[in-house]
Amino acid sequence: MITLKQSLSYSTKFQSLIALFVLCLVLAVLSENFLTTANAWNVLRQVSVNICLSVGMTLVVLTAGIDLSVGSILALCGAITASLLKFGVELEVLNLFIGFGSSSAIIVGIMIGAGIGWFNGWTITKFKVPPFVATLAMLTIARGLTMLWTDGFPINGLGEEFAFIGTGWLLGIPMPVWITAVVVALAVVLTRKTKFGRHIYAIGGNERAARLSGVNIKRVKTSVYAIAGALAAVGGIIVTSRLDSAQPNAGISYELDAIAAVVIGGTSLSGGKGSIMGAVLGGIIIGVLNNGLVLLNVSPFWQQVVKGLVILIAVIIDKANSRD
Amino acid sequence: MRKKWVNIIGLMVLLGIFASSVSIERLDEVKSRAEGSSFDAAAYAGNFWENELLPNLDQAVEINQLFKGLENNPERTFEEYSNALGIGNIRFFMVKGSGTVAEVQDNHIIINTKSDSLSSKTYPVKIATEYIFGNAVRDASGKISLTEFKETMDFNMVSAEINKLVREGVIPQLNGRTKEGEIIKFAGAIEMNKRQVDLRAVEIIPVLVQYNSKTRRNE
Repeated sequence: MITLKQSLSYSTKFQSLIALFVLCLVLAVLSENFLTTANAWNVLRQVSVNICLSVGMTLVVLTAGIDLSVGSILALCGAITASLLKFGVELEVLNLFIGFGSSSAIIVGIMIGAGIGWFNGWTITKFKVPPFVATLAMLTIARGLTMLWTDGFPINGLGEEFAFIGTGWLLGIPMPVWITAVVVALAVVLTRKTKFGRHIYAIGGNERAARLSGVNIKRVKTSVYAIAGALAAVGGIIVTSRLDSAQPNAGISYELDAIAAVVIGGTSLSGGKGSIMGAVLGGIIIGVLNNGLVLLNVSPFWQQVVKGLVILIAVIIDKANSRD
Repeated sequence: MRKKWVNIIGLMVLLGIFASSVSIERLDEVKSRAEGSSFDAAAYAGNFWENELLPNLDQAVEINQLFKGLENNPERTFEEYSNALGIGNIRFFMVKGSGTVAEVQDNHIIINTKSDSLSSKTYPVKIATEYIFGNAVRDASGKISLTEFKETMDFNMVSAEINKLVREGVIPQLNGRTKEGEIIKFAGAIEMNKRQVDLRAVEIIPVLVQYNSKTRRNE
């Protein structure tokens, strides 16, 4: 016999899943186009980029940090990948031209994302700059670099091979969904099954205690920001491929959607508590909410209000649960 | 020890994928190859201007006729006279007309179009003299199709080159030389949102301007 207390405990544990289920149920009743296979794939394709960012953001938030630069890193890495693919690199001094295929351009793009993330982590750990400030600065720097790199123009026409990443299907499933699934699976293993994952939770839970226990705080934090940067680059590559165009304005305010997904997914902004799957659910909830509001012809202005309210409610519920 | 080997093998695989997807060539050979096949947007725009745009300006809709159509039956008027690349609400018209210069502003010349029986009212039109951007001229002509181009960038470059022709060939005839009260004949392109028609805010990107010699003073 399950007691009321046990029921409440279960409902708290699965609150994101319950919220998603209720949301889907309501939207299925209100819109006949919601509960279709095509729309389900559409939602999953749309949320894939946000989930990639949210996974990185979760790791950062678990260490009690925040990364506001992921949207700008997404744009910069998308632009660099696109330009390598389209224009290659000209080394005038050596009279050499290096042409990049999709794989090599993507590897460079992701490494640059990881490098920028690493730089974020380095400034935070080395100079004790608050994560909010360090990544806010990087938000501006990376956006400026994107504008410089592209001259403010989009880079279009990247070829069918590259377009497959964002628009192709494999075994009946869209490629962005495959990529996101791999990212999520690796992150789940990282957080649940490795020493590194335990160190992330330990730092977020009590940094001093973690340090005294021998955890290399600087290395773990720097690595976490590097992973967040690399995942932002993955998101940038998916976006660029989907549009067949690297847009200098890509990713603006994506960091807020990623933070929202993390919070809705139950990860505590003070660190040490939360999960990757929570962020995935949070990302899907935001995606379903966006999709449903569009299907119901709700004004885009109201959509923003509703999204904001959902985030607020999620945080209030989380706080209430913490007190309990 | 096992972790170290996993890392080394992982790195080797990554390097292998990277190397197989990179090509190195002599820069001068690549450049000479590119020069032979690159798209010359300026030449395309020049040819379009001389052979497609100017010879067909007499087919442009008279501005007061357009106003009358938009007042009475906007849907049909858009269908009949406008061009656009896609199916959105932003449409382009190639227009012609004449009128009296009412005001010379920093960025525009305001023209009072000649009143005739065609339109119930006349509206002042603005001829742009400073900011010449967008795709109005390219798309209003209806003569250039996206499918002609291998790259969308080439298509965009054509628009940039057409705007350059306007800036360098047409605008100098207006800037600093136009005086209030002069009669001017014009042809050009306008952009209009199908769902938000505001006849008081029509801005023309000029492609041809001619002054009435009788009203031209101090030349």
